[in-house]
Amino acid sequence: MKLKLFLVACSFIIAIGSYAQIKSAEIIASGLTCSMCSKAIFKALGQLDFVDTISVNIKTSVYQLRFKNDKLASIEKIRDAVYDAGFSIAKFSIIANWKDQTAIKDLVFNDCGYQFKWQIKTNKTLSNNQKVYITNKNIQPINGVYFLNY
Amino acid sequence: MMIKSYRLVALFFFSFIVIAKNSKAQELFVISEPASIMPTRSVMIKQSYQQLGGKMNSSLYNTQLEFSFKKNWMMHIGTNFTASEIYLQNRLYSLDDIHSHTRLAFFLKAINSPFQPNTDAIMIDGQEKLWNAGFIATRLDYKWASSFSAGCLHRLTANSKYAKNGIEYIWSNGWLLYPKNYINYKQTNINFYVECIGQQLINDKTHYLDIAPAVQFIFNSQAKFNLGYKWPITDNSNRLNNKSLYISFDYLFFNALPKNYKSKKINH
Repeated sequence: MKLKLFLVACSFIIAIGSYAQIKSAEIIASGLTCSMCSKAIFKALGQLDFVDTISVNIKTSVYQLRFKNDKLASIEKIRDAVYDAGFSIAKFSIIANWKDQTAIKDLVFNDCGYQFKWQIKTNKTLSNNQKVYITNKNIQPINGVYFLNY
Repeated sequence: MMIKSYRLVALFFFSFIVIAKNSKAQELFVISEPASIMPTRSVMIKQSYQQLGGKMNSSLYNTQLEFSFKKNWMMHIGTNFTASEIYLQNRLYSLDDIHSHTRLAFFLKAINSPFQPNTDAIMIDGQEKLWNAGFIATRLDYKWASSFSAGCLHRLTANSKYAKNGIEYIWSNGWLLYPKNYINYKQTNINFYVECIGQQLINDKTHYLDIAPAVQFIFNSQAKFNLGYKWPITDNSNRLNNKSLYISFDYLFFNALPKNYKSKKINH
């Protein structure tokens, strides 16, 4: 019995450990043109403890975030940082180690600490560092689910 | 004199059209506030100097602390060491797109001043006790930043000689002149603004319309230096000061307030 419990516990830990980690994200912010506005977003994102580096293209309002390996990246915190700075997110893409997963239409799955659903027309086998887009309006989850597209 | 003023205004607007063709817009206006709110948890310190002219010369120093304690809300507290001012602004509506936005806000301002009015026009720079409330609509569209605000003015004074209520309206436009391309946050920005400030008293024929062009330098995407001049296009009031030279320096501290001031719930 103890052995069974041990094995169940081990498999649970392995299952958690097997979750992919969001390695990086790319945001296109909307509603701004000035560098002071852009810096407000940059400074807000820089306050997030799981963010390792940020590179920004001020002209195109594109922010590329790389996350620390030992911290779980939070989609909500990134979103809040941009909206609290006074702006919105036009595009939010994430890159994770998808481990050759297949994106199947309407499939709901747990990964990177989140519940996702593929909102796609055709199925596709993902490459390891495939960029996928979060399609929820204002990056707000619906019943805890983020919709993905590639 | 009046014809000269109109020609000057026409010349300004012609210049704007030429400038706007190849420029971006900014809405960090010198006199008015846009409907946008400053970043949550940020604090701005603003020191301004006004050399007032007209029938009488005087000067005003104003120190202002501006902060956003909650998403969609910001507050200003200011003093010229005689009068004090409190200002509250709430963003009501926001529609963002890449390099453009449309925003609407409500504002409420109260000025406490020991002075009694000595003019029919309601003086808004701390010369008398009043409150002011209204709406601001701002449109930013890459090459064009324009904002219109309109509000009620009510002076709180025992002197019954002058009308107590008025309407104030401001139309602001701004353009980014330099740099042409953003590369980093250290680039100095140069902005050009033109703001028109009007006032019409209620139940009284007194009105004025001032024009205020200004140039603004932004350093390190964090500090602003503003230089402007305001004079009347039309004015039938007996204001003692209807012209002013305006100089101010603003410094913005990002993420200055602690996180527990931050809004928890996001409703965008």
